[in-house]
Amino acid sequence: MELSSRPGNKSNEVVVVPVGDLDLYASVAFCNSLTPMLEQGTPHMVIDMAGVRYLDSSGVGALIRLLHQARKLGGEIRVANLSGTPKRVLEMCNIISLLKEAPDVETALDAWK
Amino acid sequence: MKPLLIVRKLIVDERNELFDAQGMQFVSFPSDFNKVREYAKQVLTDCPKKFLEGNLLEQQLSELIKNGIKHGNGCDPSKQIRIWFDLRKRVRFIVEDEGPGFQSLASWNTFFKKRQTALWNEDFDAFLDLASYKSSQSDETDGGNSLIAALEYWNGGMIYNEKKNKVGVVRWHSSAKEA
Repeated sequence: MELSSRPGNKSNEVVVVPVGDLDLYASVAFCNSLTPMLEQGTPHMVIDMAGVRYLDSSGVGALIRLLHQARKLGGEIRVANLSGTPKRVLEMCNIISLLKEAPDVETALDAWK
Repeated sequence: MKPLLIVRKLIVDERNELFDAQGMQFVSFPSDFNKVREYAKQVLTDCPKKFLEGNLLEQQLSELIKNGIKHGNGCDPSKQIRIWFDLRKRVRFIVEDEGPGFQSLASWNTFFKKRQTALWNEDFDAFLDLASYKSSQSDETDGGNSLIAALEYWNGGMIYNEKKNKVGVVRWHSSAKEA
């Protein structure tokens, strides 16, 4: 899985863009890469899911761990551009209600204005 | 008035018809954790496209295989994961491992009832704490929610045998029911 990031609108916001499958082989590295971002001053994180076409329970678990960490630090996780199997899997796990979903990254960031 | 909360649960029923493998195809693989998704894709090679739902079926089958290989067989390559499958009028699998069985099944059902109750009550703090199931055997690659999605996905049933090392599942599609 490829991972890139860019600043959000405020200094405590970050936008993360994973590309690839968030599965049992990638989820640990994904979580380990994003956790330091939360801890280093950007606990408000938007994850742009446009490039993620496959999400399994390990990936969902990684998102939940990140959500726990963000909330511990007074932040929040939002997911943008969610569709297809990843959206279905998050719905089936009832996790959508915890991960605030936005149709796109800008809308997700605007919610923190 | 709020409607009644109904929580699904994992069921043990050795004699359930979901374990009748007559007419099903069969394949067996060594317990190689690195090949979980490869095995699922192999089983689904000739699956009708209408059943695939993008890659959702592959994802759900991979979860069953992963559970068997990792939690059942302990990723021991000398142990096999055995899969019976029928992809004709609906999607049906039986997945069996050589492990001691899913000993935490009852505690998982208790966990799931608490989790769904928290969601029902819109107690999101409690729900977040219960979002993932963790047992003494869980590690960081265990999302703790595969069975939650599975209960939703396998809409025709998800049944364990008495030993709890074999699970039978079925998913109906409305178009297939009408056929």
